[in-house]
Amino acid sequence: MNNTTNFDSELEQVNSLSESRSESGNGGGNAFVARKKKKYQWQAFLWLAPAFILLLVFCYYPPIYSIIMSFTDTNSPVLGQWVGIDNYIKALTDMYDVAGEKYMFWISMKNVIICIVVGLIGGNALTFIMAELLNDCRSLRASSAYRFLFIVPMVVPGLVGMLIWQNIVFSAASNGLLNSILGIFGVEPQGFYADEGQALWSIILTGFPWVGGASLLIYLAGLQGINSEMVEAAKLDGITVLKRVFFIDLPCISGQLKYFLVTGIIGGFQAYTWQLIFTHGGPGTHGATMVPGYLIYDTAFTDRQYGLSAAMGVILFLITLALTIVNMRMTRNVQTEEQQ
Amino acid sequence: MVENESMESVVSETAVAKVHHGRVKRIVCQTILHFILILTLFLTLYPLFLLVIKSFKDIPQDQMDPFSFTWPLHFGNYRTAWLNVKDYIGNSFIITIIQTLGTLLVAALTSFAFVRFRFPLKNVIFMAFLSLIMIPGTLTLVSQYILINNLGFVNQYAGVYLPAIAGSIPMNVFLLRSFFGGVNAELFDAAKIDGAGDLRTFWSIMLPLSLPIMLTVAMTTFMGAWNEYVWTRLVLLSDSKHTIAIGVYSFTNNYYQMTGGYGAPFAAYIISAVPLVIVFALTSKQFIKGLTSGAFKM
Repeated sequence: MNNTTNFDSELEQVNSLSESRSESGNGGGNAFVARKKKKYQWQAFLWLAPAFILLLVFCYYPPIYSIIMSFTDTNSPVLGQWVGIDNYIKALTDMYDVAGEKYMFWISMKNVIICIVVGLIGGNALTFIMAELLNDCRSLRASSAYRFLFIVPMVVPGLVGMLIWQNIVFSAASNGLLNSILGIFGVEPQGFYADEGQALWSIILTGFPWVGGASLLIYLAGLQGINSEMVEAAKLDGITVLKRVFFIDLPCISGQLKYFLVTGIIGGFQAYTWQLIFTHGGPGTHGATMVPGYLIYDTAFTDRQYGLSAAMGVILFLITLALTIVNMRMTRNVQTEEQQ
Repeated sequence: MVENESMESVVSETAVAKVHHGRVKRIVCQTILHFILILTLFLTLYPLFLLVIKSFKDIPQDQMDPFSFTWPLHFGNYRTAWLNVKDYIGNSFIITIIQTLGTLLVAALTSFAFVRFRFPLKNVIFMAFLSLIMIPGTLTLVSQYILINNLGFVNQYAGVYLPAIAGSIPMNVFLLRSFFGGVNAELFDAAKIDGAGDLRTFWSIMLPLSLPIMLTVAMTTFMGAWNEYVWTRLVLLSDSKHTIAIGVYSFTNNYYQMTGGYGAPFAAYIISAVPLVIVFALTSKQFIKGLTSGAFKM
């Protein structure tokens, strides 16, 4: 009760009302709520102040500014003349003078969706399979050794990983790793990232088998947390391994799965480091590897069409938002169905 | 019970008959399992192995024998690489350390408030924080750059780490809040009876008990900050302020144009990974504990 600071009686009444309502639901011994408090603890805002200030300045203000800018026509980084939805129409229908290709935005969307679908499904499936195998591994010593080795790639800086694939694995030179292997079978050296037809798939395949690092550990922890009695009971009933995976393991780690799907979709739509560093949306002028993130970057910082760039950013945000909501809904339904 | 026992005896009789078969099956399954795991590990680690051996090669060695160790080892690559990237390491350390400490502090203060205090609009504020996760960085890229420009942060380290700290708040608060919430409330009550204030409780109870998730956040922030390239290159214009990620990349291009080889750049990649290896080695135990604590789910 040492927190009796400035209250007026009116607020206290409201508080005690809301308190009695919320108290009934909180019988557990966790730290979420200070149970005996009947009053607001205003010092909370002191603790929240740094986050409030940082978020207001760097996270809330910029998107609002972007949305306003997307309705203006400007070639310098200030708000220009109001042009209504012209930038949106231009982004979706006509991009000749910007990126050299009509409908470049749609091409970039197609590319990024291919990347996300293959990357999310492939990456999560392989990581999950590896976690299952590690979980089923009977030799404890071997499994902890494997686990350690799978984490090692985490310490490789992201850019270095890209450079390794660019200059060693998918190197277009005849002594690149994959070209050397193909050479054994008499196949001509391939261009990979430098070949218009292969570049996108080379980018997707970069880092194959996409296992390694935090996600494997998180899946593994989820699997190890499954109630062993349930698994034993199912085994006594003669459940096959595949059935166990689909009807016990997957539902039990749906929380982890959802985490990776949501962060994967949001992160996937924004990814453009590879394009920025290596391909610049090419090779060629038809947007072989163009993704929305790079198109937005390029439109702003190379073509200096800030309004158009902002409009594309808003469209991308709306798509991300819609997909995330759909994703949340769908996975939540799966979970509740299983609980019933 | 009787039914159970009789069933068990039936099961055990057939089990005795099948025990040999079962063991063979198990050994086959385990062998396949180990084979797949080792194959995947090989595919994952072989490129890194190639990086290491190629960093010791000169150009003729790389041409003649690109995929195995060649003698003598050329440590000169590392000398060249060190001379070219050493100036950037300090810059990277300044940004990375400030960003890591700042991220930890802000995220921990915020999460503590959400877990321990009762204040108006608590859930609304929390959702307002969380919804920021969905705003793509690419949407804000241009306007954030304009903002940094107006604040006079272009070519300043603050222009790199302040937006990064702010941008990391939603996700980290999401993670820390669920971990903080799992800490036993009775400890806080006991501390209150002993006359400990909020700050004391935060510092002496919450933080030590949450060490795993704090170190997980610290480690991911450290790695992210050390590797950041796109935004850093936009904000930091002068060469004297560049970070090691920028330095390594431009060194790769310059060296290749001058010599046609990659030996020294590969050595530079390894040098740039050394701090990550050290930090990882120091924190790996707690880091893994934090990752596997169950905070990473929705």
